[in-house]
Parts: sequence; C-alpha cells; structure tokens
Amino acid sequence: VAWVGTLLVVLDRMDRSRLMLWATFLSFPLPFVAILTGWFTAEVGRQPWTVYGLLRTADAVTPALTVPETVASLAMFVCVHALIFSFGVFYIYRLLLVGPVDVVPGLTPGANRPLGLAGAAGQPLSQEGAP
Amino acid sequence: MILLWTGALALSVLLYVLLDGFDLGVGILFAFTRDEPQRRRMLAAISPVWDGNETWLVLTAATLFGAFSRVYATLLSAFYLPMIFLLGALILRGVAFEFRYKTERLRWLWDLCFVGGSTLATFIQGMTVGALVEGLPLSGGRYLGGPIGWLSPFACLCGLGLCLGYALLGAAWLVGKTEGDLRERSYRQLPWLIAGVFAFLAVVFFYALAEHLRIMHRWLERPYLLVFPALGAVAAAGLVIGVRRRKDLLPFPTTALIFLAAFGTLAVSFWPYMIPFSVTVDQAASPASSLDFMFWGAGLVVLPLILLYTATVYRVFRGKISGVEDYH
Repeated sequence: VAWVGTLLVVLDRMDRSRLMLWATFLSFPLPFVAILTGWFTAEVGRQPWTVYGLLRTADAVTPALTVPETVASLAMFVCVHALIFSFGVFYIYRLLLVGPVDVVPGLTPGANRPLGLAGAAGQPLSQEGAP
Repeated sequence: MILLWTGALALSVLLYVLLDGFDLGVGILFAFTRDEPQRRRMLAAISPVWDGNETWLVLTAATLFGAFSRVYATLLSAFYLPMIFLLGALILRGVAFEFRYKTERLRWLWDLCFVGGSTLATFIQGMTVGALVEGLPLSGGRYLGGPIGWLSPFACLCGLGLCLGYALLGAAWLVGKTEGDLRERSYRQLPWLIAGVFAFLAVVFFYALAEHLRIMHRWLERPYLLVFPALGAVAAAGLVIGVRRRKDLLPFPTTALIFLAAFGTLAVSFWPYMIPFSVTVDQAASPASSLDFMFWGAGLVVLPLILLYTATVYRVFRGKISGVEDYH
C-alpha cells in the first residue's frame, strides 16, 4: 500500500484513486500489529535467555525484587496508560470530527512562534491534513 | 577515564536538578493560583524547555547504566517502587501540558495531574537523596532493605525540602520570565520559599548532628570543604538583595548557585563513595574497555550535542514571555 501510494503521490493521482484512499485508511492498524508482533517475537523467541547464550533470564532477575512490588508497578503502568490512551484516542477522534482546517489560524510569521512553521503560513493544509 | 565519566555524571545530575528543578517547581506553584491567564503564562514560561530538561534525567540514567552499572543495579533495585512512581508522575505531568487545552470540562483533571505529578516527582527525588545521605542497608553491593527499606523520617523530610527548593527555583524562574501580576505574585512567594528552604537546611543540619550521621565526620575532618556552604551563603545574600530590589534577572542565577553549592556539598560529602559508605567510584566503574567504548560515542558526540541544543533552546526562548499566549 505504501509503495503504490508513494507512486501515485509522485504521479499526482493519489486523490483521484478511490481504492487507494480506502486502502490507506484501512491500513491504519497495520503499524501497531507490526510493532507488537515483532516485539513479541523478540521477547518470547529469546527465552530462556536475557542475553542470548550468555545470561539466563532466571539469573538476570533482581534478587531483592518481590512479587507485590512487580504487581504494583505493573498496575500503575496499566492505570496510567489506560487513562492517557483513552483520553488520547478521544481527543484524536474529536480532532477528526472537526476535520481539516484550511488555514491554521494565527500561523503568521513573527507571531512569537518558532521559525520552522513560518514558511507554511497562509498555505492551505487540507492536502496533508486529511485523515 | 573514570574521572571523566564521574564528571559527566555529575554534570548531568546537576543540570537535571537545575533545569527540571525549575519546571517542576512551576508545577508545584501552579497549585497556588486559580487564575486561568496566570496559569497559561506559567505553562508558557516552561513549555519550550521542560521536555528538553528531562533529557538530563535520561542521560543520568544512561551514564549510570553504561559507566557505573553496579550503582545502577543497586540503586534501581533499592528504589524500585519510588523510581516507578517517579516515572508515572513524570508521564502524567507531561501529558497534562497537551491535554489540558483539549478540554474545558475536564481541565481540572489534567491540572491535578500536572500539580500532583510535579509534586510527587520532586518529593521522590528529594527522598531518594535523603535516603542515600542516611545510608542504605547494603551488603556486598546488594540491597537488603526490602521494598520500603529506604523510607525514613529523614528521607521524607528531604522530600519536603526539595519541594520547597524546586518551588523556590520555579518562582525565581517566573520572576525572570514574566511580567505583571504573575511576576508580582512570584515576588511575594519568594521570601516565604527562601525562609522555608533555610529552615529546612537548619533542621537537616541539626538532625545530622543529633543522629551522628557518618557524613558529619568528613566535615569535621576537613574544614576547608566549608567553601561550598560559604558559596551558598553568598548566593543566598544575592538572592535576598535581588528580591528586595526587584531585580528580575538576579533571583534565578543566585538560586541556581545555592543549588550548585548544595550539590557540591553533597558531592564532597560522598566522595570517594558513590553510594555513601559502601561503594566507591572506582569500585562502581565499569571495565575500562566499556568506558573507552562509551567515550567515542556518548562522550564525544551525544553529550556535547545535548549541551549544544540545550544552550540553543534557551537562547531562542530567552527574554520575557509576552501577553497571554496559547502554548503550541
């Protein structure tokens, strides 16, 4: 999808190809799948070693660490992540509902902003802003 | 090479304390105003730099991991729970910068995360240093204290003390960065914070005397080390003058100097130990081959690069913030 999409963008035909736009939209979970499965493969595949062939996982565990401590830290991370992730998804969803804005307000040069954005001032962002 | 990495570690810790110190301090002071324009300006005063400041914590951890892996292993095992909660607190206060502007109804939630996260992170950092000063139950490089073996009244006192200290840094930063009512307000807060910090230092001093902490012997043996506390006293005098005469650019550097003096005091109290009275710097250092290897990558490229961009960002965003601007 990425390669074909790149080709179409170079040929300036991307926004006319309905099939490709749908394919791009529907492939949004693919990076998550790729990262997570890759991670699982690496973590599960190297067991029972922490450093392959050198250090066993059983020997790598902190001696002083107790189960309640581990549970507490995991629980904290789950809570923090659940909070941040759910609100993050919600705010992104609301951004999508609003849709792309033609001109970003206040994005004029010299308005106390970092210089990097000044070049884009006044140009419609609808092309890049589409979901 | 050991000395070089010790220096790099000391530099990262010091810069972390000074830089993230003031933005955590602003986070603590955030609780003391309900005024939305003031709150916005408080955030605007730190928003360009706060995440860069936290790089120094990452660099500290990375230096410990690479160059002093024994200390890394011992301390992170000993402070497992506090470090996890420190990270949680930093995460929550970090997202608060972005999320509070996404909502009106739930803004209180993110403001709570911001204040709570900043305060908790500061408290944990102070407590950790306090526990180190008091001494950890270690044997042969292994921590034996159990999940909360670091917890003591003295450690908690140091946690509170650092909250006062960071708030002082934060107020001094705001005085230099803002104008109008927020600047006035910070000037009014400064005397209380100065008084609080010095009361804390006095209590710590007498506690150390009363409990005969081993650290005190070092000072009695080598009185010339008193140059650091003396430097702190001079800086404190400068700070008081700066606040009295409303010299906006004086409070932050002088407060930073007080922190530098405190840091130097601690460093010479610990030296040559890295974890007081059980692991020396030489014992803690990784093998020479690791240190050499790290020097060519991290020492020669990464550290100067981070220094450079830190200096650049402070140069770009120097001066006062103007008006009530949105962050972004």
